[in-house]
Amino acid sequence: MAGRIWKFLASVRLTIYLLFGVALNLGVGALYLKFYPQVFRPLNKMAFGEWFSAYSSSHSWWLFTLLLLLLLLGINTGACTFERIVELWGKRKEYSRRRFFLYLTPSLVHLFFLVALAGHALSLFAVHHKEFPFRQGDKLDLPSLTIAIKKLQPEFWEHPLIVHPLRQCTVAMDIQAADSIVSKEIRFLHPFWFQGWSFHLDANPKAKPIQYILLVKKDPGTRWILLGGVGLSLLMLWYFVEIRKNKKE
Amino acid sequence: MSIAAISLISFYLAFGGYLATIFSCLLKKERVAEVFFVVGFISHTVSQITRAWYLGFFFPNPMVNEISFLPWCLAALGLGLRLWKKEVWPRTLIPVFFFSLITMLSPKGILPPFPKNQTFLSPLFFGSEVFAHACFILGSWFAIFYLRKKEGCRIFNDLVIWGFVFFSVSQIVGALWAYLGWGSPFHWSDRHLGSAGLWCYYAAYLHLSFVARWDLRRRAWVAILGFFLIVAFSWDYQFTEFRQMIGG
Repeated sequence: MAGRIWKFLASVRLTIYLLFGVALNLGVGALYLKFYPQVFRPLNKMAFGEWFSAYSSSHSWWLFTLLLLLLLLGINTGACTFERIVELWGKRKEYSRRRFFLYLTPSLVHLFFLVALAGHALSLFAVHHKEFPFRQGDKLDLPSLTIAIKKLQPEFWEHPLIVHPLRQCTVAMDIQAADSIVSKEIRFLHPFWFQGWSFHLDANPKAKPIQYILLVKKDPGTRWILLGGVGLSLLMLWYFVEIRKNKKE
Repeated sequence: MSIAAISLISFYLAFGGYLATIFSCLLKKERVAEVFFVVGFISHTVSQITRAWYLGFFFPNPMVNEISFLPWCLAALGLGLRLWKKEVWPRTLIPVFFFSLITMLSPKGILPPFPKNQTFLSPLFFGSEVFAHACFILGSWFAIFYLRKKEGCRIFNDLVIWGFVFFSVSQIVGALWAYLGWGSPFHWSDRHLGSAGLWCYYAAYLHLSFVARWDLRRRAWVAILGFFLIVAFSWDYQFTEFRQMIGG
């Protein structure tokens, strides 16, 4: 019985059904997000638990089916990968080192996919997100930090066609922690990290005057998402190039 | 003459080149068709490059905007096929012409710059994503020919696989960009969910080759269906951006 369950969980057929199912579910979700942004956009600013108690409604069914399908996909991928690695490991002496690595690569790609998937789960359930609209001279209070905005220096494009010409902005700030004051500078696309928090500059260039916002995040999943994604993409790229070369040979 | 005018005129020349290629093919003048196609592609390349100076300063994003960059990618793939698989390359002409026609009829101009697209990650993301779309679209086009038992069209499978590789690269570049700019590599938005859905769809396609009953013929149908998903999830987004265009 256990063997049959394992065989079912590790089957490629199940992978295919699950991937098509997730794709369809994501498509439905995209439509819900398009038509009910007020229900789902807050997920970008809070953890799933918080969102669930504040916004969940009958429109949220697709989110639960998506989580279930992704959980099954994670289990299926793990089982499939484990089975393949065990099989390959037994035959490792039959291949050259390079060929063995080539055959192992799809399994590594799947492992990186699992890393990225786990990162998404962590992000969804354990993210801390805070937003602080600010002006020069403001003091922003975080649980264990106080941020004083010292200088705000925007740069603009000078072109008549650009209606919202904000180009860049440099914000200098002093961060007061328990026992020290640290000076930091932040710009668009140039975040900084401090005591486990990441700080990002955001703005609403359409507002008059322009509204600057400090995004402060603690997201334990980010590094896993990025690591998984980079590993998966690079290995896949290498694998298909190698396979193509081998075919030619 | 302004750079914007040069960009527009060179695109019209490219369109004329592609049109002349089709007529030459119909008249069975293959060599002439190839010359027109190359001339069209060179003009198209000039048009794409000059789009980066549309506002008078260098801003690379308009070079890789889907509306104009997609037909360029299709034409580039067509040229590649001309070099490696000569017998099938004329089949790429219809998609190149069709998407060039869409570019021709679309509002001219570019999307304005904003503080968060001032990084190489932004054009890299759009460029690789559009190139992936071009591979998927050409893949679905060749899948139609494969179902009609035309020779050499098994290549649709390779095109979809390479599309998937480029799409995966684009998604991770996009995630890095989103993280630096917005603090999170993934956002709950219709755009991000649509892209993730497309990725899962083509990941499923890749796995089909491991199941015996999913032979190449059945996979061809999946590749064709993928075209409609790209239109639904990506082109819808592109068209909504028209309202923001400037300088047309």
